[in-house]
Amino acid sequence: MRVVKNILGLSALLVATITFAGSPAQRVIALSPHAVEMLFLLGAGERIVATTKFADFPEQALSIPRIGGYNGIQIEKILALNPDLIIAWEDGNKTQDIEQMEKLGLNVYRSQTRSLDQIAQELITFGEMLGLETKGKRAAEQFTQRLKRIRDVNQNKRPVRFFYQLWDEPLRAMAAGSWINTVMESCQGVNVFDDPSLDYPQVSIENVLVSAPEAFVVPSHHGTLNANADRWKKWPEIPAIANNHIYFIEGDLLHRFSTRILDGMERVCLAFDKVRAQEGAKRVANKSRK
Amino acid sequence: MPTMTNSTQNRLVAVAGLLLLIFSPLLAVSFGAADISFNDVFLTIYGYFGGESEVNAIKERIVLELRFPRVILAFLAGAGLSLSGAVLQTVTRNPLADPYLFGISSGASFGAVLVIASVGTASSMLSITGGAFLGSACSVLLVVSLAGMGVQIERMLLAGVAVQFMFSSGTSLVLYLSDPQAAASLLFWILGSFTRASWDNLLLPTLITTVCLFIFMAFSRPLRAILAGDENAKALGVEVYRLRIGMLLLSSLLTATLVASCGGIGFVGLMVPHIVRRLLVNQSRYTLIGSAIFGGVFMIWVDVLARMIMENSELPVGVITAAMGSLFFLLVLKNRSSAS
Repeated sequence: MRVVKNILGLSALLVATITFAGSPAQRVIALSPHAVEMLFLLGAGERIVATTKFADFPEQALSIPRIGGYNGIQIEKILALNPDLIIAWEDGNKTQDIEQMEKLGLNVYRSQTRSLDQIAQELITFGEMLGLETKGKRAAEQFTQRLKRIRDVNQNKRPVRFFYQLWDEPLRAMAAGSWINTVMESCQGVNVFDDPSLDYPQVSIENVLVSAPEAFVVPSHHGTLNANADRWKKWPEIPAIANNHIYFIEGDLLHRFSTRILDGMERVCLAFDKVRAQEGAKRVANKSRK
Repeated sequence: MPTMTNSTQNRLVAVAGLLLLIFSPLLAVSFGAADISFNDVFLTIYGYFGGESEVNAIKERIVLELRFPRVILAFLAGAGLSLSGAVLQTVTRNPLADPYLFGISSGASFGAVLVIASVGTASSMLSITGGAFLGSACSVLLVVSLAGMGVQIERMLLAGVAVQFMFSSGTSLVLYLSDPQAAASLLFWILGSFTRASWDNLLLPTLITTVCLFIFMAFSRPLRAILAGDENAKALGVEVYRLRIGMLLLSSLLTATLVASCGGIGFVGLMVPHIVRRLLVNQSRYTLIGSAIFGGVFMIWVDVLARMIMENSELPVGVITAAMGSLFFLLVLKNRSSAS
């Protein structure tokens, strides 16, 4: 019995490898919003036969059938759709789901979202799997160059201490352990919660007060803002509140592992520039007063 | 018998309770993210009452606007839940009774979670509290209506378990359907925390806890009669049915108010009355006030732990109380088995 299983498994693997190396994937299931975005970017959006709940960009993505979300994936539906490539999301899909799809002999690629450089790498890999090598490489190059440009421009700027309010009730921060922090670092932002062992800790108003951030970055979640800014107005002791440096930025531009993250990054850099500019203006004003 | 006489021990417990009651809040206020010494706290209070103090303004505001409301809310929660536990253990004559017996906590969690999930995080604190309150009221009504004629204790306990499961499944479903960010925020209601404390939202918990304490104390004599059995109590002229239902409703009101402002904090209501009964010798009439004081002080220190264990971050209070509660139980069990 075991031998039969092994042979079956091996042959499935073989078929998968042949499909992968041989003909480009035509029926793709993309199990994350960022994979959908990247496929559309490479011009392969119409090859996606199914995706998950929150894949909402670009607009055409909304018409793709859904087969699951954060809580799991309907594997039977995946089988019925007969895909030749499944782009799974290692940090977003359930591990059991990914493993089961692999056991079933499906051609599964595990997308990882841990550093910005991986975005370029994934564009190249997706291009190869879809037979769009040139497009993939070009997109990756564009991404890398734009990222480098942003980093270069900001490199020598003064660091800005920021608080990233991920959620307001309970108050939750994005800390230095999260990969999102690298987006902020590119703009010379310094997280006031700088412990690299924490990613999204629950914090108190007092924690924020003590850390005295110069800027608040507040992401919106799926279109809804959860600001609760009134709570902070009481605390002008916080430089960000005193100088009104609270910046709302579309959460999808900061939390989604796609090329659009550079749009988010540019907005963050712009916000930090405003913080620096105000400080500069104050200094000038003080000087002229003297 | 220990070398101490009973009355000396009781007196010692009373003095310890009083000292803890006075000094715990003051000490607890000097713990937190910002570096504020006990001296600063003292000066701030002195300054508040018109004295001249040189504490810097931000420290003063942290003490007065963030830490004091929080310590008071922690005290109220601990006191209220322990009080409610002590009363419930008495009227049901069940040592395992606690404020969450009737699914009050799961009802409240479900209500709050439903409001957050349907209205979104923009939902005001008032509507979340309202949702928590409605949820707990529903669970109490369900349990009491299922308790049968004369409010039979066994039926009520079983109904409580069923109602608890019913609401928990509802909460799980809402959690399952919401996205991870929202789910993390909903967990607050299940694990409990005092981060929301502010002077504005202290009014209701203070009022309800104080009123309940006085009513419970006023009825402490007939309550003790119930401990000796329904028939005995009836013989002494106690209206057992009415007293029981009244006390049940009152403790649910108390619990619901507290859950609505600080989430579900387990084990305190169960644990503290037991400890207080062990500390006091032959003085069951002081169990209620003792539970309130020791429960409140206990919770103040649990919250200090919650703030201090991790730097720059907070632990849910319910996690700590549950860990302590279960350890306490294991210890009691072990002592019992070695004694026998």
